[in-house]
Amino acid sequence: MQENDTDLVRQAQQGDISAFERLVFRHDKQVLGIAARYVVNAEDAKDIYQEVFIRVYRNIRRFRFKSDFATWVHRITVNVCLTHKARSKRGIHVSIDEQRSDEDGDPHGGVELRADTEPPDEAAHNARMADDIMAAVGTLSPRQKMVFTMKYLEGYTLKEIAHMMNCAEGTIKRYLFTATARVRAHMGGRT
Amino acid sequence: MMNHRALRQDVCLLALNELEERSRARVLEHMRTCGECRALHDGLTRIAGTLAAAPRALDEERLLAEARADLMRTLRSGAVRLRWSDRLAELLPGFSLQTYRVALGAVAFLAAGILIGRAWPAAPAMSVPARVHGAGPSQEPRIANIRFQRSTDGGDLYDVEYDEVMPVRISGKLQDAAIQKALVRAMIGDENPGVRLRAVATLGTPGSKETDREIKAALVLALRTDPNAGVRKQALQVLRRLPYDDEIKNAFIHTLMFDRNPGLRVDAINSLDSVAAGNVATDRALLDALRESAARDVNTYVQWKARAVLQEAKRQ
Repeated sequence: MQENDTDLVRQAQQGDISAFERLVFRHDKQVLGIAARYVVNAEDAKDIYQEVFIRVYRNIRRFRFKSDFATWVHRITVNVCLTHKARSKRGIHVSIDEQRSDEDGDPHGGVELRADTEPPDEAAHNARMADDIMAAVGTLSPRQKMVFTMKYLEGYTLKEIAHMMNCAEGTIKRYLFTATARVRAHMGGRT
Repeated sequence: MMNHRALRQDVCLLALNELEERSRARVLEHMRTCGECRALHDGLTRIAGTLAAAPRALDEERLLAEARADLMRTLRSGAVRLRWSDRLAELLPGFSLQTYRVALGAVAFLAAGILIGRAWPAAPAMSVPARVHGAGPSQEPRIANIRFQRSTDGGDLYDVEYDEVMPVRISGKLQDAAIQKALVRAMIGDENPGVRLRAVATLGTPGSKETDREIKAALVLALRTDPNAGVRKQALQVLRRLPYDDEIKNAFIHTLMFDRNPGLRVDAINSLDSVAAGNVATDRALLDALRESAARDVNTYVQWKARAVLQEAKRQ
């Protein structure tokens, strides 16, 4: 029979590291998904991932099952994202494009790749537009950015986002509305 | 116009498929006559569609694997320290800070009262010449942490604050509770790794076979969390001599999975192999740990060692 989160949390609270590891493996994909979409930088996303699970590890004994374990982990993720100082702001910046091109061993990065595999016009237009939207998202406040990211990129419902951010659903709607208006304003007449 | 302004947020929710059914018809009706809201709805739908169709900027599988490896390395390195209350809870299973919050609060209150009570008459007492104790030199308290507070208005008088540390010497066998308590404290609390190592070694000497639960818990804690590899190794050796049970097995598995020292991970495999002799093949947790180690340990010798034990278990 498959263990549920409650069993694993109880075992982890007793100091069972392998139970903690199994909990990590169950929930870390969503954590990394939120982090990666929020910071759009591989190294920052990994920093957030690490910080989240270290906080979980340190506090798991205090977890009293008042919410789902997943909700608790997501709340920690949101808090860590909102207070995260990007590496770019600390003077170290490795963009995803740079990293991918380095790891692929392609010294010219994405430039050569785009020239070789030129997408059709519509696809190119969409890709440019997605880049512009993400640039606009970068100008939002941390909370607006978090709500926008979780709704548009991660597909969470407003109710789920409200749970994760420990806010009323109305507050989340306001953040989303303001964020969307600002992104549209940044995009000019294109949306 | 007012209707239009009030409906803008609902138009946004409609585009994101978040609008309640009862409001939907009203918004759709409004959009039929309002070009601005239609444009807003189309724009938002385009944003959502564009982002949904955009390829992920990251190789997430790879990033996840890297993040997991980094996390496990950090946990193994011992850099993540538990709070003192959690360490206490680990030492004393069933201990919960929440449960004892009121009692601890009362103790803290009492301690604060005692401290205030002691400090109150201390000021005038400190202005008289220091007393010389009649006791022998071996019983004389050691003076530590001397703090010169301030010179008083009298001119040549000073306020000096210090801690008196009284040396205590006890004699007894390893089975004596007072000796065991002192050794356990040294093992988990002393800053000097040499003292901790000696405490572990002493507790492990023949004669202390009748190890009680608290000592075993302290040895397990030392094996799991002591920052010094020598202390962890000594703890492992002592635990290996104790009667094998789940607590010891889990401690060895923890060392195998998370200790940053490859030598200790090999020792953990050897210990598990020898103390669980004949039972490896039937112990699922042990098998999982060995398989994990054989597949993923960063040290090839540890991998090989784990594989060898697994093969031996299979043959049996």
